[in-house]
Amino acid sequence: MFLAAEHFVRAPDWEWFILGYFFLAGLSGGAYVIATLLRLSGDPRDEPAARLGFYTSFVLIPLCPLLLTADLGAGWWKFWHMLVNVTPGNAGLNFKYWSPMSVGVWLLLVFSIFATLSALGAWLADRRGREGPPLLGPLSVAFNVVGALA
Amino acid sequence: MEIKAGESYGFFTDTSVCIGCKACEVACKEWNQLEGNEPAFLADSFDNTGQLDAQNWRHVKFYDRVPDRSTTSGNGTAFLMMSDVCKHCQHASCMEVCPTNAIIRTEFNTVFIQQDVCNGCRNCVAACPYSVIAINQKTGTAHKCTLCYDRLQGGLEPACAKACPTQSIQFGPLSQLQQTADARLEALHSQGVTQAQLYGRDDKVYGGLNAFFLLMDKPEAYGLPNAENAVLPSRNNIGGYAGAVITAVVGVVAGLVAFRRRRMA
Ligand code: SF4
Ligand code: SF4
Repeated sequence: MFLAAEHFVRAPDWEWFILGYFFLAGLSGGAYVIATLLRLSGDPRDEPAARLGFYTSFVLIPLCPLLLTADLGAGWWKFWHMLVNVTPGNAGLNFKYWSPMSVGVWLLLVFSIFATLSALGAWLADRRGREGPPLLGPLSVAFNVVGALA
Repeated sequence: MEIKAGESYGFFTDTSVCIGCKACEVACKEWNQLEGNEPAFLADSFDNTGQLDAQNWRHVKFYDRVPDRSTTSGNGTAFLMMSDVCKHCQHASCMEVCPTNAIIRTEFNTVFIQQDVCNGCRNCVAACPYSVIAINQKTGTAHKCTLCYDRLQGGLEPACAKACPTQSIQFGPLSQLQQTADARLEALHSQGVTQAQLYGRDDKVYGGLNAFFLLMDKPEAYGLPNAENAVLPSRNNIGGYAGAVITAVVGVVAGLVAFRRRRMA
């Protein structure tokens, strides 16, 4: 992998908040992926483990935006500017497919929704004591692997 | 000079006449009410400003060229001096990455960070190839030269250009500055100063710089990326994303293989 390090002339001082975010997002995404794989591989004995995976993913994911917001420092209350453009005369949603940070923020949001729904599904299934519906299927796999890495 | 919205403005910084007096730095700090540096002993010769950052929007760089042996009088350059500033790039790296769209292009075709929109994510700090931007910890936002946006709106030229005693810093409509620069380069070349060259005058670095320079040596000698190296941050995207996707696919395949093995066992 080429990283043109010679052109990063100033360090942005992303320290342990950001490291923590990558770690937790990775864990959460990884748990989700493994849970999905377990469910896809279709062995009913794996179902409890899959549900555990979805729970793990759901518990970890809210920590991520909290860490990211904490990292902003004094401007932390403007965290939502990542998603919404507040420039006067140019208001709307912010999405720049060419800026990895912008992409990452949206992936995080979408992944959180998936994680929440999956955990909810697992919980409902637990309560009823029957096998959960094959939630969201392969689509979510492809999607949240990228989410985990973003 | 009348300053009109809709026209491109910039700086032409002619380093061949800079005397390193730092009047530009002081004028900038006064107008923009920037804090002073903490008094410190840097042992960096004349360069006690150090770098462009949240409180230094003009920085006179000093590059030591004192020759080992004495040269004939009037024939040696002791220092390369350059009043550095945000280049207000046509293809601005900082603007490209900013996820909040806090960085905008103004009606004067300059690059401006809206303080009320910026949330301090620091993406631009890493992106700017000239290390111009830094965070002010108190406001939690990114700061850099505004090309005196407020002064331009009021019809005044930027404070640094106004203060510069040698006209090393010239402000004006871009087309006019470019003519001035071409004439100056020609004059220097005809006097035998062949090392003089313009930086950012054409579109070879970042689509052209609104704040461009006349240098007395190669851009590398001033710590500036040359035309070959001047690339936008999105250059890393394809490689980075490809790496992520490959890792993901390998992970999933490995997972599937592991589960299958276990089932067969
Ligand atoms: S010099 Fe840096 S801060 Fe100024 S416009 Fe270019 S990329 Fe942005
Ligand atoms: S620190 Fe502010 S100006 Fe810089 S990229 Fe982040 S939101 Fe944009």
